[in-house]
Amino acid sequence: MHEDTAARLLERAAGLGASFAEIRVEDAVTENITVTNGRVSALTTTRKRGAGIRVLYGGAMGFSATSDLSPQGLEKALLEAYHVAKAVGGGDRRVADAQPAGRLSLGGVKKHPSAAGWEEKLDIAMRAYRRAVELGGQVVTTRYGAYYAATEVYATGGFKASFEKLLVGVSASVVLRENGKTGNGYESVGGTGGLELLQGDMSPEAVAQKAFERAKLHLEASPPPAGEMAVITRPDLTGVFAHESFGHLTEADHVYTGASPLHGRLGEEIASENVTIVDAGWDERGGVRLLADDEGVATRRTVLVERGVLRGYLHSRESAAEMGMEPTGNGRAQDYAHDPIVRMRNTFFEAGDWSEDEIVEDTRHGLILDMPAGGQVQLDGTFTFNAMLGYLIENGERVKPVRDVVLAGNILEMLRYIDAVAGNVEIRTSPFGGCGKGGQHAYVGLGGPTLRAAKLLVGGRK
Amino acid sequence: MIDRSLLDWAVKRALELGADEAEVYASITRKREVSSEGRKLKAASLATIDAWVRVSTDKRVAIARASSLDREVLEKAVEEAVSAARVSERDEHWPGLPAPAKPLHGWIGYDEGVATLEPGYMVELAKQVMGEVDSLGADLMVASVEVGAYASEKAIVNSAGLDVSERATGMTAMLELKRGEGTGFSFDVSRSLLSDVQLARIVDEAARLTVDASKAEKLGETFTGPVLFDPVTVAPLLNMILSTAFNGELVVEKYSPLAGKLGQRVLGGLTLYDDGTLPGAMGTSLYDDEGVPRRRTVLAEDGVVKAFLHNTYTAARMNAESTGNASRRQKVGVSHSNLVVARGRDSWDTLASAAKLVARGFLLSVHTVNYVTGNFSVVASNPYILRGGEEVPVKPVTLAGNFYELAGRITPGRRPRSTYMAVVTPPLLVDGVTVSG
Repeated sequence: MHEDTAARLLERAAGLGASFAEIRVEDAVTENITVTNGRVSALTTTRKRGAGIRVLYGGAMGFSATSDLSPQGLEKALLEAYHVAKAVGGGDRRVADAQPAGRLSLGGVKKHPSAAGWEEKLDIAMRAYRRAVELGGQVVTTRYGAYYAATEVYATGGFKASFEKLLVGVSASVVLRENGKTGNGYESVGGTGGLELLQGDMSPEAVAQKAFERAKLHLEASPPPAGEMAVITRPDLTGVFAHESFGHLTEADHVYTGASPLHGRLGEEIASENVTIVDAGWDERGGVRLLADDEGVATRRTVLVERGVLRGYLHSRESAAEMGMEPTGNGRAQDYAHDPIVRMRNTFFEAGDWSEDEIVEDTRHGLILDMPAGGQVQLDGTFTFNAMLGYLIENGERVKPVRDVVLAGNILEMLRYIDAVAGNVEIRTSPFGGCGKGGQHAYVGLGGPTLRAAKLLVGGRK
Repeated sequence: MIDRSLLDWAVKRALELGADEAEVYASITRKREVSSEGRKLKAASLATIDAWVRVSTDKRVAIARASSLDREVLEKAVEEAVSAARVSERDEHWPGLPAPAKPLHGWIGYDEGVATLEPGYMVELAKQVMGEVDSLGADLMVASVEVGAYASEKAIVNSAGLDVSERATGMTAMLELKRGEGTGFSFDVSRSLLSDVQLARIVDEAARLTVDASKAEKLGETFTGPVLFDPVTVAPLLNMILSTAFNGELVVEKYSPLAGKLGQRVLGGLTLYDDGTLPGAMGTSLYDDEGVPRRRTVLAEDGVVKAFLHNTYTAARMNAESTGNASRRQKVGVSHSNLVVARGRDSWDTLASAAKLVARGFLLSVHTVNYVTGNFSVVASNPYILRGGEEVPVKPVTLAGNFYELAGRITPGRRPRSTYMAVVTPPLLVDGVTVSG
């Protein structure tokens, strides 16, 4: 759509002495309906339309963005990107060559949110609300959400790509209070597709039911004991572990600088042989479907750890050049107003040959945990991830529910302790959460099977 | 400059299309930032626009947002908001849009010197920070450095006659270092130019944390006892627990554990207030995001809940006045301006003499704290165990407890610090925290 203008801008950049330039035009819409205790507390549509421009001058990268898509507005942004790149005063930055993704579109979408009316979307949130209340939910918030975008990328060397993005979902949060105790539970689901996705296990009613059941269990649960013990993570929580505790350290912008503890360790055995971790633009078991990254590079399936051995890092065009590797389609930007940085897509542990029941039966003392509440990792490999709900296990039996727990450790120790992995891989996403890095948000998928770490630090109460 | 006649036109256009009321909010933020991956610097310069059209029709409310102030784009947003409001649910409690009111203070957090900073100057500052790290000779690796400056303008026009605008600036600097297995992080923020003294403090703080962390040993025990939190370390925890607990919307909807607790002593001896008029603080402005004047609101006095934070809607729901705390994120909600914990009498050393562990650096997973119950279970990045009065660095530890159960065992220190989350707090000694590592 903006091909001619982009071509002129790229010529202009070359004339200024830029060794690389990139024009990314995006038109993105976010829809949010929130129903709080039966009241529509938000009915919002947000449209972000503009261009992000990168210029590599004298070995330094400059970025600028504008919502003015006129030729004059775009040229002004290009000159600003050039101006700030020049201000850095030189460097040795490069971008790796990459194959453009070409023109890609999502097929098979029956009821795209842009073609559906507000009544139908409001009904999705209201159906979830009504179901949660029928079950006995006392304080209930439900949401419908959608995100869709059309992105075009033009860069030096005749690079052209255009692609769609799409994510829809529904969520419910339920609070119960009884005898001075409070329990809260939530569930959110989503995927790349039209509103037709929100049925069956992903229907508003099923989501409300799950949130209510979790709130009920949360009400009965108490804090777990603190200290080191065996921890079994169910698929949702395994996904947060894959993403927060490990995945971030494979992002090559941390690796090439030497900051990541995974720097220089390709080919080394860093985990038990039960561990295989993958980051993919799409997997048929679920998650968000990303056709290309925001540099216009087709997303490829990247094996990070294969049977315990570190096999890969995640790359943008910039980080790939730094390490002499190929881009993997992980250069992602929150929107047109942010520059692409290395981000994950769908990150998950692969299946093992245990069943969840076998793992529980095999555990003498430990926890089985679910309902993730996020996590974080720092550059020394210290990681945390949180679970809101689970059970204490004694002698292979779930004996009492536990709640609100942080799990912590050092990832390079921790991956060696994974001694049992089940086959029940689930990969999930939703338009309500996501990952934050460098001030940018990204929609991601997380997943894996139930697995056990023989020893993990549990932040409970004494 | 935002053309307020355009906003006024959009308000009138919404009324023409059948809205009973309309409000247009617009902000333009110009941000320049120099950041690094390792020592490799890059620069960005952005001007972003956030335009909100909020309309009500027969007490049915909807919002449409856009990233442009082009008349056509704005008109489309107006049409979208009006058509969405027609199908929204009627809200009997909707009180209407706020009427105009004069600001209650005169401090303008706008520094022309920050607004006009050239990126080249920020590059020099980033290089200065890296140079200072090198001069320490401590074998420290720069993981990242960041220097940024922003200038923003917001304007709000509504059909109740409100027509306000204001400007703001801010400057930030951040440094993350690594040495062996140790990491350290420090930052500072200011509404005006960051001084050399502030930049030197960032370097010293990050370096100290990093060098100590590289020598840290495992704690190797679990105990429940007194933990002394550095102001910067504890600020995000206070934000997650207290800012949400006093949020009028979460109180009205009964998510907050403080719902129904007005007049009750539930926070030990803590005195807290929200102060949107505090000169120099990050959350100070003339108006909130609905155009209601900022003010000072006592939230808790000696542990007794005195008031909640409100926007126009939540205030009406609780028969109160708006406290000037409207915010705009995903929706028009409520947030603190500057959340202030009143200072105590004890020095850091006095508090440390009663502590078993000191939490410096930052808290990992603080965003996962359960604000509905007050349960927290987080990880301290740079903890120190106190042995014979000496701070001995240990590897990261978990810290867990329930804020409300521990509130009566919190002792504030006497020297508050203003932090980037617009939380102003002294160090806090909290007894009864379970520590494990």
